[in-house]
Amino acid sequence: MRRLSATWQSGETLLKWALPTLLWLAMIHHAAAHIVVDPSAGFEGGFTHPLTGPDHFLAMFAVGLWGAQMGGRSVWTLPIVFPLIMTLGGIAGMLGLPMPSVEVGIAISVLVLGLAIALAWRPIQIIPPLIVGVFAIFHGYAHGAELPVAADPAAYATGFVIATGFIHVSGILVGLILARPLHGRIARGLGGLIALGGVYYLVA
Amino acid sequence: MQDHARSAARWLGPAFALGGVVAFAVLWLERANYPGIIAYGVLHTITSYERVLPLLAIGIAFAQNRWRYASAGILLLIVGAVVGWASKDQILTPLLTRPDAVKYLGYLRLLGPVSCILAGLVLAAPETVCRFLIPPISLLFGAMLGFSLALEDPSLGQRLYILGIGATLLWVILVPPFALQQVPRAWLRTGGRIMASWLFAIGIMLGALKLVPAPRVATPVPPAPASAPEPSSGTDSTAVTHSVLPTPPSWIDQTRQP
Repeated sequence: MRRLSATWQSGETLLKWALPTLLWLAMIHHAAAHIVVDPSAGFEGGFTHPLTGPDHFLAMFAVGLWGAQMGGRSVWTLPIVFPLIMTLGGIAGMLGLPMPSVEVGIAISVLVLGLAIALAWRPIQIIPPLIVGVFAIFHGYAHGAELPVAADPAAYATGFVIATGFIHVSGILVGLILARPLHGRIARGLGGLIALGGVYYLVA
Repeated sequence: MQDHARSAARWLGPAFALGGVVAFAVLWLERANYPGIIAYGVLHTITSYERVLPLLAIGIAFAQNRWRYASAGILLLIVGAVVGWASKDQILTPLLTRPDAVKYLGYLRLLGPVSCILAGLVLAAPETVCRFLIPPISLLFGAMLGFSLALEDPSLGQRLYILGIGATLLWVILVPPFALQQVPRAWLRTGGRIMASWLFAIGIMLGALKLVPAPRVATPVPPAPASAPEPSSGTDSTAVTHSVLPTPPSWIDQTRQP
């Protein structure tokens, strides 16, 4: 009982910080999905790219949150599938292979993942990694397109992979904390907000 | 008394980790004031993502296993690093004497990416498999690490510099087993799997980056002086303007073949 109460309290405290932070992050860049070519980029550029682009941030956060909401193996399979498949997209971006509508793909990823959380969708185990894998290609492409022109591409790649991982982990933590309060409705509400973000990026 | 000792031991690992982080931060801030050759060895090692990340990952794999496996792994890694460092010339000399040396030397750039993938493999493997993977991969990883550090050693074997490198590597490899003792095993496994996927991703990305040629960036060509002669016939002036290759000086006889 005491443990449950502690989880509640920590969940409330986290919400106090997480929601304004999410809103603040969403306001940093109000443009659509970004492929920014910064030739001076190194580790810092790679690390901050997913953090300062709310489209990337929301999708990656949603991956962790959805995994935590589904529970079981999904907690770790989704954050593992995402960076692995993201590398394929990254290599495609590096090679300059044609990829139609990267920005639309990223916006749809935010929308679909947000909806999945909002509806507390629990499909059979193979479906979530497939969905996440397809979307990861678009995110990877956006990162990979910047890589060869970065000042230190290796450091840039390392930076964005680590930042992506941290966002997943933060999504998992928030998802695990919000799983119980109000029967997970807060997490579903967050998913709804993420889906709205996706609609915004699609329209913008 | 026993409780106090246990409590102190519990905080020893995090204190060891924090102490190292503070020391690195101080050295980093003081790097412009010539903090000494040891400090440069430390900074050179800790700022290399290709080395520190896989090393940290192997340290986490050690933390997931029992002490006997971890200590064997640490020992083999150190032995491998020393052997790799010492055998630089023995590996390089036969490579350099080959006619296609450039091709083989190019493969050495893949040491970092391969290290990342190897470390990811150890971290992602189930506990029972991991125990069998730890000894060979620790030895191989250590050898690759030692060799690549020797290859990039700017001090040409200065003892103090090597001391800095050694101290940093030891700290990185020892921090996870000591500092993560209190973390529940299930959490460590989940975290380890997630980190393994990062290492696979970083390894594949770095490997691809080293194999994919960098794009040719057109450099601006300074305007030709007013008195410069017209380009000779048969030369496409537009192509020359956009080329990254400098135009050969006029005194070079381009008709002569080497």
